[in-house]
Amino acid sequence: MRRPLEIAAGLGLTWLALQASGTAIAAPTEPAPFALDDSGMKTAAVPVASYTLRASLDPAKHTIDGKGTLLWRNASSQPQREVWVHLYLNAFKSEHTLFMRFPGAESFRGGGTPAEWGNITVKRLAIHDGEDLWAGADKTSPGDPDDETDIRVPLPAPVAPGEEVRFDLEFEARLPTLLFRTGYSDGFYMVGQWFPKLARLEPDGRWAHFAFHHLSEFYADFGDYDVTVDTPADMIVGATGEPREEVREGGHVARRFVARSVHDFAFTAWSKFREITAVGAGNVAVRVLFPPGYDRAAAVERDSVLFGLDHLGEAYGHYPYPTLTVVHPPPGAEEAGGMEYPTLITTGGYWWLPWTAVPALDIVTIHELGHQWFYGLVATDEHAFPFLDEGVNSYAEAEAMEARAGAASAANILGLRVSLDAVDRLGGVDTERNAPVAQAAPDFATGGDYGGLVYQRTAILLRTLGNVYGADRVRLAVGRYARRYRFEHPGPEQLIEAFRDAVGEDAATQLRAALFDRATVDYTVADLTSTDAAERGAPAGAVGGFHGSVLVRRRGALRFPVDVDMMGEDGTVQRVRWDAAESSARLPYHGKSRLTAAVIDPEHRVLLDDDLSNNARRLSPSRLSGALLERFAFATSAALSAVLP
Amino acid sequence: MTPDLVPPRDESPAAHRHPGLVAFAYGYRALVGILVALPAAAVIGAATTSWPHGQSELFAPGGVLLLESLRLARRGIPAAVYSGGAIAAVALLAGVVPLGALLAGLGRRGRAPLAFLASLAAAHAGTLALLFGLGALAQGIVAAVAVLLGSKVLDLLALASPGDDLAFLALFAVVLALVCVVGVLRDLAAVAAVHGELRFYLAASRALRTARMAAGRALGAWAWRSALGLGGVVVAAGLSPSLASTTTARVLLGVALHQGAILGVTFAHASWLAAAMRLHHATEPEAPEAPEEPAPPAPATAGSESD
Repeated sequence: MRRPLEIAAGLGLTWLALQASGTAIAAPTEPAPFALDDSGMKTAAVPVASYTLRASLDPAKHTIDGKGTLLWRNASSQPQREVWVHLYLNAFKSEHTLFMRFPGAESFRGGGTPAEWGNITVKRLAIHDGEDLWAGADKTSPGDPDDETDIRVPLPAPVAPGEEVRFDLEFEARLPTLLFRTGYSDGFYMVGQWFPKLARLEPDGRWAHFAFHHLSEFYADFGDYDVTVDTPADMIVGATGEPREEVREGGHVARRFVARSVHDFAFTAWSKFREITAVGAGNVAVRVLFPPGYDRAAAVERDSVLFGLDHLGEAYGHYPYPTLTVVHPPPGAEEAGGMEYPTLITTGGYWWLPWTAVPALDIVTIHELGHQWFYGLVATDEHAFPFLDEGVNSYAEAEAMEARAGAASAANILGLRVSLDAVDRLGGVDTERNAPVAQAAPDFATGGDYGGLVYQRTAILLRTLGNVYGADRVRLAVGRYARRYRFEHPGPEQLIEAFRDAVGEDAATQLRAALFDRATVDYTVADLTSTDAAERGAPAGAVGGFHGSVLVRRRGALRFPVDVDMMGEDGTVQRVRWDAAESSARLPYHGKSRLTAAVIDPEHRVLLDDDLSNNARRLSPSRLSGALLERFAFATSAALSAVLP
Repeated sequence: MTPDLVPPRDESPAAHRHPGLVAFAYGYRALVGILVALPAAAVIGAATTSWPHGQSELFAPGGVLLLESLRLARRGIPAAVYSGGAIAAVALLAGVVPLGALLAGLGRRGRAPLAFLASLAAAHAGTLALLFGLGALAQGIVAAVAVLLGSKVLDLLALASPGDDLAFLALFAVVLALVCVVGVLRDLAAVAAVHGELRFYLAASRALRTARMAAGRALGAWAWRSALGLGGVVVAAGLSPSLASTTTARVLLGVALHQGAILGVTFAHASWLAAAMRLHHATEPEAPEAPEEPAPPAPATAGSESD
């Protein structure tokens, strides 16, 4: 999930800079020797938790009556005497829940207090045609009497490994006013996390269950979903899965959606939706639902999805589902925006964004679409290691946006091109010492830490590895990881292993250190000196010219080889490679003219570098640039002309 | 001031006949621009002082160093904003003096002596400050009232997006127009104060009279000149050469474009003030007819009937 417009907001200050264009940062221009293909990739998940539900939306009461069955298979190696059920909607039951108690709730992914609270009431959970088990279930989350999102349900008899159990389900979901992805707003419904959802059972027999935390997302087993959504007849519905039958009766429409190999189901309903459709790579039926007046925004989102299905499919394995629904929530329902569900994503943003310098709609669409892989297909534990979905997906987003918009992947303001890498560096560097990247969502102290470390630092970490060791190698690593672990719920070790295989031991070592050990790096040019050999009284016949050195330092535990440029007074540039194995080195200089400047990592390949201002040194630093001052003065004079007497 | 050194009043002033005055006003604006911009330029450019190509590195494609500079400058930016703001505030206050000189010079034929301009500017500085202070207050009140009323109307209309955004844009345009109208009135009063040698109250009354009698001409004269000035700035900004590769020629080209645009804005402003003076004259109340002088008494003669 990405907050809509966060990129636009992050770029506001760039208006301080004026327009520019010209010299390019040389991107690594390697051939693409590494092939990625989908042969051998799984085409479907082995179902573990499959739901057949009927959901009846009552817009007068803002409730959903749910009824159906859950077919669950014990896919672990251990017999199970209990199951764990997530009742995510109970996070919005009161201000006392774990979710609502988070102190930084309003600073990340929206929040606040809903005008109307929501909750879910389980009326029946029983083994098929058997006794109700819900009466014997725990009433609250473990160790938290104010939270009811993580419920243990004892079973009447152990379920052996491989054994299947069919549960009957009956529940009522009362939706809150729109808050944090779920709820209603002025007739619009975004219905996510609305049914009792079984936690994932790990292969070792451990349930990956957790109370719903503000910074956490979800984790579940794959299954097949067959859901019939019953709404008033005037409502247009978008949902996870492929639409099947549609039955109209008594002012209502019951629409059946079927989704194979997914781990969640969400739907939206609104009577005012407009719709455009397209067909994407792999014959995917793309449907964009949007508010009246947002035609241009919807077209941008459709185009981004078509690009993304192609580009991301090639990079991480083809998109395996027949449908993809894009929902642009209406004004007032912004909190439903920027979210991912299997085969359904929500975007967001103002109708006029297509006419601005910031491709916010493309970015949010590509990001949410990327989650179809890094969350959807590579279904990692979003609670335990959120960087595996949000972080790897932010890398995928930056890579895809670079392919789509080049150096202007985040903005193009009068020719001044700003990349997502530059934007991601802001949070990724600022938060680097606050916490490890690879930790559970509730362990982050603030939303800012979570955003900076999980999204941005992971993104610039993977981009740095690509810049240093080869973008194609990193694409190969992530592409192999995504294909190999499709439907497999991998963890951090599988990602690191993929890097070891495709990029090398050194890259895997840096990756692990940066993820788990808060490792950082700061390159600096500490000193430069050169003298004229003749002045030093070189003996006759000795090599003339200038001799000197550049003292470079690497602070921090991360170690990436870098280029160092040494510039002579005559304009010549000598480039040397420093492996940065030691924390400092004196690099020799021999040239025809005096050494006047040195730059370490001149192309900013190491995006993780703490501080770029110390990456260069010159004999006579420029205290103030006349050109920059002139631009600023022009802008100021022009602005003041409106108010000066 | 020796009376024979004071140039005669010009009944039909024009800015192009006073290039020195326009240059003076431009100089003031340019200087203020540099002074206000200096702290921000220094703070934001600090990250690249050691880079070989200096601040042109900020504008390389991708913007990595640009955003890094902004990130590193965060602590200094408030100080730069406060100091720049303070300089701007002083410049706004002090701006009544060059304005007074400009008005004094425009309203005279030929080149007015500096001492004359200075004395007139100083003499009217108080009135002009009052006019601009109260003018700003009036603009604020007009804008606030318009926003409040407009918002009420928009609330009643209950438009859906994007209609509501477009309606707010229209409201903004209306508010801006109203603020400009007040600005035009203020300028007419400033002209009356300096050119008509009137104190605040009479100058304001005189401006209202001019507005009443020639509202269309006044607004038109202001509007097309302002549009031209603004257009020049936009064009100059759009044509600015990139800073990514700074060469002396490119820097000079940028300076010429930008300062030409600021000079154009200044000239447009001076031209508007000259037009306001012409309107001031055109709407001048007719002087009351002088009473007929009584005929000199006839010399008394013997046997006259007047008796």
